Formats: sequence, structure tokens, C-alpha cells
Amino acid sequence: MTVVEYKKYCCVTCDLVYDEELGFPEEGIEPGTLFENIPDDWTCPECSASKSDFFLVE
Amino acid sequence: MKPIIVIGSGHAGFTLTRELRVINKEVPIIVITQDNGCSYYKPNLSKAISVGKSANDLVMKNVEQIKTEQDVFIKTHTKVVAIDVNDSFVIVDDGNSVERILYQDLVIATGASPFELPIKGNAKNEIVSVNNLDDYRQFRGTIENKERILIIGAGFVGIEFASDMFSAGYHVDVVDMEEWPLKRALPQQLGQSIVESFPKDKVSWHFGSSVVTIDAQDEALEVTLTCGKKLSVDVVLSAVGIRPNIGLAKAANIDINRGIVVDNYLRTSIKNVYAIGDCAEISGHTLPFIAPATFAAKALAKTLLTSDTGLIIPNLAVAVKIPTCTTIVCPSLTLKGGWEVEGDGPDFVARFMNLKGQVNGFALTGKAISQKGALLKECIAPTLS
Repeated sequence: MTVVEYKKYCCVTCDLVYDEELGFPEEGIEPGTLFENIPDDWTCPECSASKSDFFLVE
Repeated sequence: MKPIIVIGSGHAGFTLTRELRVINKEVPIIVITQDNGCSYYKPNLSKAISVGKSANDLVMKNVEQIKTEQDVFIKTHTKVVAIDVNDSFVIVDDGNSVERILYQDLVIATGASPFELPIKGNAKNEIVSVNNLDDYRQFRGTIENKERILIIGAGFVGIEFASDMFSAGYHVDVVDMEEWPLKRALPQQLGQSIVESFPKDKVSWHFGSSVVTIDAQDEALEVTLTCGKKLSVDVVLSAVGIRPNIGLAKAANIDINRGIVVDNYLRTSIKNVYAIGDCAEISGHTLPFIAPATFAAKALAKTLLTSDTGLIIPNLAVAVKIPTCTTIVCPSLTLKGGWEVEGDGPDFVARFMNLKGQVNGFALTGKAISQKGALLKECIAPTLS
């Protein structure tokens, strides 16, 4: 059994954090969805920045 | 090599410099700002009091971080006094010295300033507005140990402040000339749901009215409304909207209207001079909110450093931060048409139908916000013309 290490990504414009473990259920993104599996046309629910404007939180 | 000069360090200015650096690491970039050059997310200003955040808490990056990350030169606390479009330079004044800086390209991102209201009375100068981080810092001091606040304007900023301030324990009066909040973005039923979601003992509404006078009365401010009501409050906050900062452009004979007139490539009437963000007017529209400025900055970065890239703005849904009544709006650019409303309060879906019967915008409240994605797909592509 592999343990998935969930990561967090932060929006460069508004600081909103996408936590892979929690997903964004209200946006139709289920908990556990890896950031790379989010559609490329998805935008930040807070400020509408592009997916590419999120950076990995180390 | 002459630099790209950006006037203004708000969201538009710093998004542009970031995007320029993505494309090119070498081109010299100078940002000139009257502020201290830190970055912050402006929409947070109207929702930070109730969570106890100071102005410093809202800073995302300070000026040194931005200088290092973006390798840009930032002249802080510096005013651009004039633009010479013939010889391509700006004259700047940092309070100690005045100098002239040549530019290759100039981008005006000077934002917008609060409207001043024609209010009379011996305390009219007590009106405050919160349009930047320094304003927010002062506002936190102004409201300390106060109890009653009057908010003028029930638009996006006014309604978010009303929500934030009552949550922080203040008694809030809201006055607006229209009949319901956010009237330009949603129809009456939804506005009513928002009003009813606020606790009656903490928020009093005065619709169809405006402020006539503000006078000092003992320790308080006595406010008279056009409807004849008199209110006694401690603080008056104006949130009636902003006006593009066009003075510099006007003085340089760059075409202006309400904002600095630009085409779809963010070009002003003068070669090598561009405008983005709240100061710009594109095809007759000034475009509020964060996202259009982001799109404009990205398009302009490409135009300046690679090839001409026109601005395309998709339909954008904006969340209005009212925890008592979750609200999402996608405002229509055209005002021609009417609302079609479905659902039962407070869970409404409202579509703005244009004269051809197409969905041109929408507003959602309560549980209906889950339909955001579907409604965005229903909307026709926005056209800036």
C-alpha cells in the first residue's frame, strides 16, 4: 500500500491555498484530487487567477 | 538599454512586472510608486477587521522580497510629476530630489481613487474611505473604541464592509441611493435575501436615500439623509465607488475619457505608452475586480516582449464575501436586458438576459452558488465593444 503525500499549492495573487487532501468540493473538485489532475482551464475560486498562477508550498 | 517603466505598484503593476520577468530576465524594469512598494490583495481590505488583521498582516510581500524575486528596481514614496511623451521620459520626485528617467515603454497603472461626495456640514471632512493599505491602517485606528459606523454605498465594497463591521461588533447603518444592495449586479429578490440575512439589531438599512450633511455633535457625528432621517454615528465610511486616476495622462495629452483610453492591446493614444488596471478604459469600459487586471497584465507583457497580444477576458464569477448569504455574481457588461430569477429565497439563480435572449451575466445566492460552473458555461462570451 502506498501512502499518498498530499501537497499544497498557493495562488500567487490572493494567497488562497489548494490542499490536495481537502480538494475544493464546492468547486466540484473532490478531496484527494492531485493538483496536476485539475483541469487546466480551472481558475482560482477567489480571484480567477489561472491554474498556472499557483505555486507549490514547500 | 532604456527600461520599461511601470507607474504604480498595485495588483496591475506588479502582475505585469512578474509576467515580464517570466518572459525575459534581462530587460530593465523600473516601478515607480507613491506607496511603500509592498504587495497585498486589495479585496481583503473589506473583510479583515472582523478577523483582527492589522495592515501589516495583510502584506503578502514586502518591497525587498519583490525586488529580489523579480529583479526589478522599485522607487518607493516617489511621485511621477510629469510624462514627456515626445522625448520619452518621466520626471519623478521622491521628496528629496527631482530626476528625469528615460523609458523604452511606459505603463500607467495608477489605479483609481474614491469618489468625493457633495456632502455639506462642519464634519464632512470626517468621511473616510479605504482604498489602499495605508487607508486600512488609518481606518483601524479611527474605529478603535467606537461603536456605530455609517457606510455610504451598498455596492461590493460597502456590503462587504457592512458584513465585516457588524461581525466585528459594530452597529452598522448602510445608506444607498438604490432600492437594494448590489443593484447593478443582481435583481431585487437576491438583494432582499442579502438584506434579510443581516441581523436586524446590528444593521439598519436606508435605501433610496443619500447623505446631505454631517455635523459634529458632542462626541458623535450627526448625519442627515435626504429622506429626512437623522443618524448619530461615530464613523462615516464612504464606499460609493472609485474614479480612474487619469491626471498624469491628461497632463501629457494622452486621450482620456472616464479612464485612460486604451485599445484591445492596452495601447494609449501615444506610441509606447500603455495603461492597465483600474485607471484604464477599454472600449468604453472600466473593468473593476482583480481578474481583468490580471488578464490585461499578461496580455501586455507578451505585447511588450514578444508579439502583439490582444486582451481576451472570459466570463468571470466574483464571490461577494457576505458569510450570512453566500453570493456569487458575474456582472453583465451590457445593461440592456432583464433578469430572470429561479428558486426560492435565499437560494436564487438569476440570469441576466440580453435583448437577443442570451445569458449575458448571472447572480447566485445561498445554495445556488454550487451552480457557478454551469452558469459560466451558459453565458455568452463577453465582448468589449
